Amino acid sequence: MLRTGLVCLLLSALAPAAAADEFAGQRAQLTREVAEQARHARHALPPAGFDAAVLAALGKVPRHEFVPPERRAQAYANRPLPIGHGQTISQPFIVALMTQLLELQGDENVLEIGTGSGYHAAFLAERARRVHSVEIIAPLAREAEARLRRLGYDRVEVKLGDGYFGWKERGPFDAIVVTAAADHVPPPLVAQLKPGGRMVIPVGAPFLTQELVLLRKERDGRVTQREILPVAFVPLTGGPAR
Amino acid sequence: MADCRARPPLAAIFLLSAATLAYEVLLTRLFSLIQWHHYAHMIISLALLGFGLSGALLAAWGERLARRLETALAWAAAGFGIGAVLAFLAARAIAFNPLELAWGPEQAFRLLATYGVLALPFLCAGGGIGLALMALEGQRHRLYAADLLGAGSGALAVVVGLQWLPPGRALLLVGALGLLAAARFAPGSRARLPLYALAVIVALLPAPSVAPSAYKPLTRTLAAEGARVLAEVDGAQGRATALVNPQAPLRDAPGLSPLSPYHAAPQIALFVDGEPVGGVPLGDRRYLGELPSAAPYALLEAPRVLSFGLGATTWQALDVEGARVRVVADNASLIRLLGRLRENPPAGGLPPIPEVVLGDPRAYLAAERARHDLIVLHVPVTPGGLAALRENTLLTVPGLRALLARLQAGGWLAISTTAGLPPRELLKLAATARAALGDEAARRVAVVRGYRAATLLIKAAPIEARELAALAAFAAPRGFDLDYPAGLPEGGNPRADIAEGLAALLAGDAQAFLAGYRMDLNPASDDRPYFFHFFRAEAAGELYERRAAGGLALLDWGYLTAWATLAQAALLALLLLLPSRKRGGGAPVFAYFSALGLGFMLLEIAFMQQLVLLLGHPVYAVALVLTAFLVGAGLGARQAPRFAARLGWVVAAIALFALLNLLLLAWLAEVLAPWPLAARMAVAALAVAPLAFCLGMPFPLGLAALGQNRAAAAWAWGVNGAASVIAAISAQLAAAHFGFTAVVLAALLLYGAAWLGFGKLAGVAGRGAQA
Repeated sequence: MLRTGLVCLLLSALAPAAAADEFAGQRAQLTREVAEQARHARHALPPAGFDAAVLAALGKVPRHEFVPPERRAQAYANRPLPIGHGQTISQPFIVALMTQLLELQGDENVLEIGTGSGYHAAFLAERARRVHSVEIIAPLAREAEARLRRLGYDRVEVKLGDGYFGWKERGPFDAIVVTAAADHVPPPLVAQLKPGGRMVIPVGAPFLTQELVLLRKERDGRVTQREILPVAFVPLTGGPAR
Repeated sequence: MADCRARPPLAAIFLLSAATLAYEVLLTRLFSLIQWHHYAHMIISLALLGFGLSGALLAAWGERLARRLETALAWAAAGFGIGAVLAFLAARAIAFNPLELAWGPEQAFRLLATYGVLALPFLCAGGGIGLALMALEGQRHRLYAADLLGAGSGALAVVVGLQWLPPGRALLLVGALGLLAAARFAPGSRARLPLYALAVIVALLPAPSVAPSAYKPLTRTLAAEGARVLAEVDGAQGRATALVNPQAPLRDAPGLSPLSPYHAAPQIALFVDGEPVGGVPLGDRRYLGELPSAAPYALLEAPRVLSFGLGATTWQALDVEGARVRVVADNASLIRLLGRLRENPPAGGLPPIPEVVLGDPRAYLAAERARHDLIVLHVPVTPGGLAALRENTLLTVPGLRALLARLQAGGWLAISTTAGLPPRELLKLAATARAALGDEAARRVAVVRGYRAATLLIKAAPIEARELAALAAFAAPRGFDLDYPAGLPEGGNPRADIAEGLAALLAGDAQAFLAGYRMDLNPASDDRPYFFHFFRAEAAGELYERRAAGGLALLDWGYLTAWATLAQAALLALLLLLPSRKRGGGAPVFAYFSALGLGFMLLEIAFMQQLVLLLGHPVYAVALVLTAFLVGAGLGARQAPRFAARLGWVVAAIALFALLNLLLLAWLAEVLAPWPLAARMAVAALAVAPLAFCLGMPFPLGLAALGQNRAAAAWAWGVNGAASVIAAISAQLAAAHFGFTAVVLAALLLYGAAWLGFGKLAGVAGRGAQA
């Protein structure tokens, strides 16, 4: 009787942890899958593929918390998912790639344009000192902010606004990531990037496919860019294109 | 049954056919607005197999229906009338989302469900017309004539009507027309009166809303806080929408320099069928000088400019001091929308909105004799190959020559486009320039490129050193690259793939480069006017392998969707028709009537394209060809019994008139370009009328040859319908690969094959059910 009771006590102690970690296996599988896919962007990644820190973030950030309840079963599929208001949460491979390209060391001030569900902001927060995120759709901004607070991502600040002009008051930034497409690199964002800073942005026709571009601002103010691979992002809703 | 035999229901058949073809055209319009146009074609094409299914069902059960013919016909027409409206509403509710097709099977089931519901009205209409043809043996040629005349009238009515009617209202009117047909079929006034009343009720119902899907660009742009529609215009060429967002302004500035001291101005965004087509800039427009497309203005002062389209290149030209600008666009809905904006400008005002000439660019160039210092146009982005099978007669070798012929000595042609990864539009333009200019291209072309946007400049004469220096001075402070000629300083994004490609195509071994490139960059021609067709099978497999890394985005979905539609249609047609082949007369009936179905549609589609250049407008061409073909064929069908023993002469006449049209239409387009539109339409109608008249005869002659075998007549109707669907899909694929001339020749071979098989129909006539 006593033995049975001890077993039950042990199981009940473990149960909350088991419930909280029910997606751990799926996150681990997703991490392996994304690491495996590094070969598709080998021209843009180090020879060893994704940094361990980026993969660790992938294994830690609970993507299931950032998707609608009816999509939880697909939360750890390596694909974009709709989150309402015509927007999507990005494919994890792309999130990892964009973060990797920023080469964050841990003490950066980062700007994100296009908060969406807040997943990418949370991802960045695992790697940067501070993340400032701008979202143009009010319900998404509110929900993302509440979600990030609930999950303990206090290093992320969310603002409702037009991401085209960045967030001048919080700049300049060591890194800028734009998770929405535009047909050009907004000059205000370039102006808010520190010399030596990096920007990752999808550039092209905002409603279907674009090129993921890594832009670097040199010490002398010159800007160079390199196309990484084709992607499909929702638009930086300040801009249509053809 | 006595009534119908004594007085065949010609008026009712006319009304039902008119409603059916109007519904087909209207559905294409509705789904192009809700979805994307190539998915619209896919969905409608498969739904039309309802016609094929009707023939198969009639072959099996038609005799039972024929015993109460008028009632059955009335039910079929009523089924169409009500079904046309309900099917659309059901399909809208199913909400197929093509963007998720590649990611899971759920959308495939939604697509199948969409096919199914939309096929039902066509099943009813096809069943009604097929039943009449089947049961009224002695009147088949008159019934078929009424069918074709009705179809031609319906096509014309919907194309004209959509200029004024919202598509939701047009849908209800089509349904009401079907119910009118049902009333005309119905036996006795007790049956007719309720149907008339129902027709009136349906016509007066509140029109269903027709809104783009949640994933269409317009809908997603409207989701942003503060976005609102300023004006909207419906027309046969689509719904044009003007939208602003004072809180989060929309900005269209392809390739704007990141070093620009000016940010892109807020704009009124313009959409057609929910897809972005550009914007009207408001406020400070100095950013327009910081785009790669502004390069020609570093070379010219106060130029006389001809601008095609309503994108950034037009607003740029209008903003240049001293420039005299003529704007030409080919979308009537968009032009009317600009007129509305001019009449009701938003608070804050508008820049001067130009008068825009409506016309097809090639036809305009043929008719207009003035020369210009600068001609500008923009080649739109075609991500995912969605425009792979969309004809464009300007971006061809003859089109480029026509543009260059309108330049002053020392003038420039500036074509702006994307410079994506891998490069395709830009390199194809270079290939086209080489084909148009020969070795001269090496000295007359320069390319300025910004971030994913480039401008290809072609001068009327060799470029001078000082002009290259001016271009370099324009590019350097903006961080732009000069990709051609070689040897100029690098900008912010040197691209060896582009520079090497341009060097090979403009000055090197272009043929070798084209043969070895992973995409099809061969220049388009008037016979194969598919500039946006880039697909190469070798590259497709590699891109699919890389789908998780974005490879799918580079596949030509428009092209692949057409093949998928063809495969589905062929498979479904066989599955629907083969089970009843024995009752239906088997191989002789299949061979004859499928050849006719394929041949007729191939000719119709090929000449539709040929007439675009003569008439100067794709909508007019479609409307004229559909009407002229169907009305002409209807008149021919009426006269078919006179040619019962002379099918060979009929087929020979078809071949003669088709070849004459093939030879003469391109010449007529050039010679008659300055004529008024009405005169050109009359000439076009006269040109196709003899061909259409002859095309109307083989089908009723074949039905007559089947004699009393009504099951065979029904099956023939189904076979012919299914073959028409397959031809409609395959015509564009065939033209993209082999050209429209080959499509016409293939159609003539099919008619020849039908003539050879005609004699075997007599053997089928003796078998089967009697009345």
